[in-house]
Amino acid sequence: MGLFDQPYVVELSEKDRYYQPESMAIAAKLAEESMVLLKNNNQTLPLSNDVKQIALIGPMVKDSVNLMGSWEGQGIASSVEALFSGFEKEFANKAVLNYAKGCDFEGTNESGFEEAIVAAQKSDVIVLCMGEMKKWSGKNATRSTIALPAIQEKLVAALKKTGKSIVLILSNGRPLELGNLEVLSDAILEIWQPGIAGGTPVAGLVSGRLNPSGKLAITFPLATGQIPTYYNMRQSARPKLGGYQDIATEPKYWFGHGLSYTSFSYGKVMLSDSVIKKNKKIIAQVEITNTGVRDGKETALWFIADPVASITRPMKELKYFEKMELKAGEKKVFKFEIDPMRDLSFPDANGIRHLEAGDFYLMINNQKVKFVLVD
Amino acid sequence: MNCIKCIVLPMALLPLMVAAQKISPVYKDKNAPVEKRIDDLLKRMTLEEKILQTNQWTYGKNANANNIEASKKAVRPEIGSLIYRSINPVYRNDIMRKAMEESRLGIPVLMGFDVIHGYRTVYPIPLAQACSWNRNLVTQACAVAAKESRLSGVDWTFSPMIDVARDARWGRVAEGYGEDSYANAEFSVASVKGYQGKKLSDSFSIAACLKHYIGYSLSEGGRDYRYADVSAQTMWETFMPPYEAGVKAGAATLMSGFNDISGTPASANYYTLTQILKQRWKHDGFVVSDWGSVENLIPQGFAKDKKDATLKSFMAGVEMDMVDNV
Repeated sequence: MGLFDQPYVVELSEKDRYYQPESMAIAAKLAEESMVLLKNNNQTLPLSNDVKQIALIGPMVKDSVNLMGSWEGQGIASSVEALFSGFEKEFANKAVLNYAKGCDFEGTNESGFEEAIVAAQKSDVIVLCMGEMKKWSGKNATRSTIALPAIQEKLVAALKKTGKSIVLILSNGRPLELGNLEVLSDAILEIWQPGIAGGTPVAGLVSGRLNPSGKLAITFPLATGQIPTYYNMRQSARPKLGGYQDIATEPKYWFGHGLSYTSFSYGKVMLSDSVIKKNKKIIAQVEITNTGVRDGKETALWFIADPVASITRPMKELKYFEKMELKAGEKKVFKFEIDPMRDLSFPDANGIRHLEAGDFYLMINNQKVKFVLVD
Repeated sequence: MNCIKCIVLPMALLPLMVAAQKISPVYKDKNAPVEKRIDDLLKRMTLEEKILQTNQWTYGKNANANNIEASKKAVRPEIGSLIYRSINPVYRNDIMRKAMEESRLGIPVLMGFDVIHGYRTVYPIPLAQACSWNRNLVTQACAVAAKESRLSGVDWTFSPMIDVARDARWGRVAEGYGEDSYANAEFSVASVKGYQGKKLSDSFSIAACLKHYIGYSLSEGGRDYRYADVSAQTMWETFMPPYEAGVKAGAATLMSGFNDISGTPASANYYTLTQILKQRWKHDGFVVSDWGSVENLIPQGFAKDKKDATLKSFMAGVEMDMVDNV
């Protein structure tokens, strides 16, 4: 690091070290792109221009500690942009915010429910901000269930009785069990723990100034008892059996799930050759069109499946991803160069890689294309 | 032999930059080749000096100024590394001056800190970052963290965590890039690039630390620090690729995990630390233990006392001991 030759660092004031405009812009952009729209029935989001009163409810609305997440470095709560501040800026002169905390993150105190119900009744829509405390993540922070504490679930149920649409904004450090909440919500936006610059992106996604582009990098199980469940499991001996007596086998939201306010249509996947030699490469490409009326970003996730091998393989494995912006109506070609040794081989128990001839499948979106690897 | 290596490797991290004095020893000559400088320094060091270089203490239990002043007095100028909890570069320079001027050989101290998703400008947790699928943004964010860290006196972060995580009950699922091995590998590279910049000797670069080598996320039932039953097949196809990618991207250091890997704890595992990391992958940096994970070999039933734990850990390939003071 050159410490022998330059052991000292320059001594600047805090003002010159932290929160530089370009740093804040990166933090806000990363927060925006990491947020995942999990559910959006009847285009509840973005909020329509007819919404004049928003009930902003929940323990996360004015929180400034938990949004930072665990391991916040030298971050300080007073520098965190609360969700409330983001909404105030976003909806100034457009809609009235009716705030109520409703409940704490945990415990049994329901005394705030009534105020929350009143706020909801006079509003056009309920934006409910809840989730996990930061201390529930990090070292020595295991949870026995990944559902939210009962008090938060009860608040959602109580607000549902008002008959207003519910937009659930979730901030948490792990996938959540959403069985009880998903059915009560019209839309769900996962904002994770966005750091100090999360308020503006969240409000921008809710208003529609921004378009969500995140996709899950981890599966949300339907219930804690499904753990472990992940997209690249190996095939079962009896693929149609081995489920549960009491719940569905499928998780709630798979790895890769994430909605947008626009729609993307995938053309037919083309391979430069359907037969590939071990020492050659082939190129896969697909044209993706933004068929909606809004600009947006799409991430193409390219998977490979090896159906028969000398060591059993996962049902599919992610081998490449690419994210691109597509204006409304625009088409772009997404490419993946398949390198057999890198993308089609697998390691044995000693870490030695093997490349075996045979059939393979390339998978993207809901398409599956066969190709053959030969010596 | 092994003890010598623990010195060689940290110093291999220290390429050249600014002024050197005339007629000074070779190790202080910025124009001499790095390997020659290291050899020269090692020949001059006593055993005690070498041992101190393999130790990491904490500097200030918290960022409280009184605490930090007291810590400064307590720190030995020969110490290898500190977990630097102040945000003040003045303190860092003071402590560095103490090391440079009051220790016999004038060896600088490496200041480490947990900069996981931002230093003061905190950005989203790594699990969220992965959902952006945006490598460049992750690199840019890590570069911001590196710059703020360096300007506050920190040279080294204990990040990225690239443990593929499939059990959401585990609290540390927040710190990694999700359930997929390839995604963890890609963001491993993206973050190392952001932290370390073009060159580690650049004034806004900090050293990265891939962690927790290896299999930590398989702690049974998501219960932290527990036994992890990691089959060799799973280790190689799921857990190793992000580490191999990070090592290839030039990550300066790795951290050995708390977990017991199928009977041989990660912080005393000769196979993973030496045979794979150093011999097969030719990693040129060094390995630091996790907080107390050397001493933890005792409750794990792998070492009978501190001396035994230290010996087993160092012989396996751990080269710096985080705060055990064993």
